[in-house]
Amino acid sequence: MSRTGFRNLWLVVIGLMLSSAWFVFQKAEREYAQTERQNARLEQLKRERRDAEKLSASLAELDSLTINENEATRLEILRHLGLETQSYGFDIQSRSAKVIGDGTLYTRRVSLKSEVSYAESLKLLDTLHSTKKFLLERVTMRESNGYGDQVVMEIDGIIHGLEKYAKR
Amino acid sequence: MSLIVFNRNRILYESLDGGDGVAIFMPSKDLVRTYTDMDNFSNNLVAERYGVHDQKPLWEETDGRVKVYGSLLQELEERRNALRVHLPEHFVSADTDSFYFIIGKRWVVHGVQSFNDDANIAEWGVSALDASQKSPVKLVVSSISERMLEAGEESICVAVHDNVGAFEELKRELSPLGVKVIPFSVLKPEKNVKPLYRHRDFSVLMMTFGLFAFLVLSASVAYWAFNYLNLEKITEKVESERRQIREIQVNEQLGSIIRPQLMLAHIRKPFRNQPSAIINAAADVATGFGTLRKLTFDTSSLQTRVLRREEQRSDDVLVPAGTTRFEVKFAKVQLEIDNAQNDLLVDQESLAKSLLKRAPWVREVESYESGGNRMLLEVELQVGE
Repeated sequence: MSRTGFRNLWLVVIGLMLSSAWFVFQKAEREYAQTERQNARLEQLKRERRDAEKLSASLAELDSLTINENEATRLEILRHLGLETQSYGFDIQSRSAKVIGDGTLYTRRVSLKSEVSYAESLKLLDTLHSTKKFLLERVTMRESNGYGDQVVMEIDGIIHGLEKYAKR
Repeated sequence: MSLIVFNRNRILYESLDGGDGVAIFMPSKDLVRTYTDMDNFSNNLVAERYGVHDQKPLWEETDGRVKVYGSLLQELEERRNALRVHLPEHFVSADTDSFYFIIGKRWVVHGVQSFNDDANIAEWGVSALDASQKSPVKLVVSSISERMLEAGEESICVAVHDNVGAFEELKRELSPLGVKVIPFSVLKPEKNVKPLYRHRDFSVLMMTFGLFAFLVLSASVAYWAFNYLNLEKITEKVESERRQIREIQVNEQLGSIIRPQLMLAHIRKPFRNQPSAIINAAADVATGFGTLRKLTFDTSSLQTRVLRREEQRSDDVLVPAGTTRFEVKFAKVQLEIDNAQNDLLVDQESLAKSLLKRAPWVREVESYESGGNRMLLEVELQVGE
């Protein structure tokens, strides 16, 4: 190959390689910028997901701790506390409402009276307490006129309610 | 090193040994031009003046005088290897009167120096003799003999290139005349002699630039590939996050509540201890005093106090004891007891002390009302740290 041909060939090859390198570099820079944007988007989505998870968990917890105020019959309240199949004395007393943020929180003062054995009384007390739906305020236990180790237990506490939409 | 002998029309001789090349130009007297009125000397200016626009002129400049001998053959100009073009007289020293170079089997390059009285300079007359019909050795020997007869003693340089037979024969023939024969390869142009034309071999430089460009391209491609893969990964993560957000089940029953945390903060949390444990511990205290009739536990009596605990180290008495602060929860339970077994207050006190010793979680027993065999006690229990 002649000197001029060799020189021209190499100049073309070098030119092509350098221009390709420049083109690829520009493309890589665009993708880098896009990666940065996607990274920011990812961070935002992660925040959104965390917020959504927190909201979902909070709503689920709130739903489990409260009764539906729109259908708060005695049976529904007993069902909420898991006592619908028991024959305990159950009184619903005063109800108050408080606007908190964008909703209204209803608070009912209730009392439960049972006359069962000492062990069953304690079991009932722990069960109610562990549901977290019934907030104990006062427990009174006294002797019963019945047989064995039966005791009369009166539990005063509060339950909360919210206005909920009907389940679909 | 390659040696090339050429004139204005063609290459007369060429030995291809590879690598850099040295070319000897045989100028024609009728094409030699001398310019004394040029201020700037460059290939383009000289070519323009000489009238060869598309060729490289072969020229040299001495004391402001530009002497153009001809132009380079296109074929030589296009050679990739490095090339230096010299005149034949460049290979001999200034005090040489004549030279004979036998180049290959056929060519004899002969030069004679003469003094130009008009220009007051020494000039060389050179010619390339084709000895294909006659032995080049005989041609040189006869010519030297004639010159020695005519001019007497003079400095003659005889060199042979690429013809071992001629070299040996010349040595034998010329030794009686006292003329030395040397290989042409030992002749080098003097350092102050510039070639008429030279070009370098830029192959390595071009390839170096090519390699550099290739490396730059490779680096760019690697950078692009890294970013591309990174972008793919991030995009996939973004899609995954979007999917997860779509999959999160938000309770629709409480759709109107936007800030459930605020609502949860207003709902009192139940205390952490099991109420049965508190009641049973209090009832256990009551049985020591009599028959338990009534027990009342008010959750509002739960309170937290900060206590200090003295640290003791049994292994090293020299180290002073430290103090640790910790929080303790207490609960108070009211007990109503019948058939109190001890009427005397001192007996009740000693019973209470033994209870406190036996059950360390009972922190306080207070009797605040009694009448007959009925007793009211308030028991404070430690329910946790």
